[in-house]
Amino acid sequence: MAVLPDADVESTGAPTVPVPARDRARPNVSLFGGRVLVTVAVLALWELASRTVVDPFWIGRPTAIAAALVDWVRTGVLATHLGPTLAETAIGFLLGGTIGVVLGFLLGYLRVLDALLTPFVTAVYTLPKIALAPLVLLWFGIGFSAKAALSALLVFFLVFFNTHAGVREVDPDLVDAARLMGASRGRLLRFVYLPHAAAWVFAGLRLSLPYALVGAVVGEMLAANRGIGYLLATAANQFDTVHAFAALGVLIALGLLLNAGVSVVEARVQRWQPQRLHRTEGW
Amino acid sequence: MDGAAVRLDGIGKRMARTGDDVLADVNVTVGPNESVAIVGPSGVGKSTLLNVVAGLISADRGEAYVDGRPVTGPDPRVGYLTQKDTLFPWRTALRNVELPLQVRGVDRRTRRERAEAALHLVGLRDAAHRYPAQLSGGMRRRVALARLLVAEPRVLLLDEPFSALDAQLRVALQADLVDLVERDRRPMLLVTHDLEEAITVADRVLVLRGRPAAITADITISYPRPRDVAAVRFDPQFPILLQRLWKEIGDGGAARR
Repeated sequence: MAVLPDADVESTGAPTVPVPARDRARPNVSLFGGRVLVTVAVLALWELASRTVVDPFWIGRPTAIAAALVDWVRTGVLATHLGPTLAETAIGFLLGGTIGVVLGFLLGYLRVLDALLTPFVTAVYTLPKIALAPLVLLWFGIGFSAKAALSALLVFFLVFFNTHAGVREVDPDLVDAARLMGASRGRLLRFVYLPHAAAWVFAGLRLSLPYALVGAVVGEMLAANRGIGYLLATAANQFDTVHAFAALGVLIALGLLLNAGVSVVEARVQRWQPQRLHRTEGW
Repeated sequence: MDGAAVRLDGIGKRMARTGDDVLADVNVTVGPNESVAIVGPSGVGKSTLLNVVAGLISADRGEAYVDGRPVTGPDPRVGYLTQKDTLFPWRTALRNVELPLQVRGVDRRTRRERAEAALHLVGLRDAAHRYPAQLSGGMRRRVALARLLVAEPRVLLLDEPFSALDAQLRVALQADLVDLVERDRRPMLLVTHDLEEAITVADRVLVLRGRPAAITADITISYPRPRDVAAVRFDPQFPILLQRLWKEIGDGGAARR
């Protein structure tokens, strides 16, 4: 299972004594410099290797990959293929996330429904979801909707289980405290269950975002005529490692961008106690 | 009724899981502005008793009354401070204190004003916008006290309220509690295993012991009000009261389980 990168958890995390944002920023400058250095060193080694000991047929060559990327941007190939991938990822994420939150909340809150249905969800969850890809393609055709559906499927489970746990893990003492204030069922939901589950929902959404991209790309690799996954599969099929790496580079950039987006939203909404997020990684 | 803040009439409770009788025929009366402490060995059923008064659990026998009306469910007329920390971690101190008013539908401005006043009362005006995770243990207890008071309960129930704090902080918070209770002349039922705390804070100390447990002693503490918590501790009568309570509890603590 994917694990949140430590650096991200720490930067949103409030320890018992909060560290002001200014103090946190300072060590990050040198850290950032270090990371740039590592990146440059790896690329240089790669370039060197491709010019000396390893045939670039196998590993491509950074300068050639960069040239290919520039070419994609210039000729509009990137825009043509990035659009569908982004759209599939976004729709899949929204769809799977929404269904996951709603169903996770319902089953977490209503014990009877939970006892009845959750075993089935768990049963499907144990499947490697990618194994469902051929069926999804069969049902939804080779167009846009199949990729979005595959993406939604992957997202759904992560969000469902996190939301479910978030509702289930509500401290019964907090529930009692609210009941003693005279809270009705509706107000318990509003003042206790929803805000408590919010942290878990966010953890689930964050974990699932890369998987939204995975769903879209895998779908494109299996059957499509556009999308970054299609570019990747086509390049690899033609033994074109340079363009395969170029497609991978685009995917990495996309993943990082999506992650950063969630971090920003999360930091704004969840200022309290983000260490709880650690506990959801097991899902 | 006789105007008692709390009256427990022959309360009996059996544990559902084990079938053991925990409480048998417990009778307690807390006067209109009286502070009563219940002491007893841990595990004797003190918390169970308070949960009955709060309406969180129901008794198997007997009847609990708050302000003359029977308790039938979770009861907003009582302010219940438990041993555990029940501040809402996603709310700032101020918003925690506002919560009881928000639940009742008090409008935003009024509840903010009252919550600020309550925080001020416990000396935490400056910490209003911090989250519980950013507060020390003592500060969190103070916020919980403020949240208790802002709801203006008819009676305070306190279950080992300061047991998680270190000794000095505990005494400081006991002093705060005594001040707050005396200020509003609010009746209080305190459960504790800290005998010194019971003597310091209460007008009467009841001993709960045995299996099933019942009240076995009722000792009047005649220190005057308003009470100086520090002075009480160094009063020559203090160790004598302490010793008497100690004897009343007997070996109850050691014999458990």
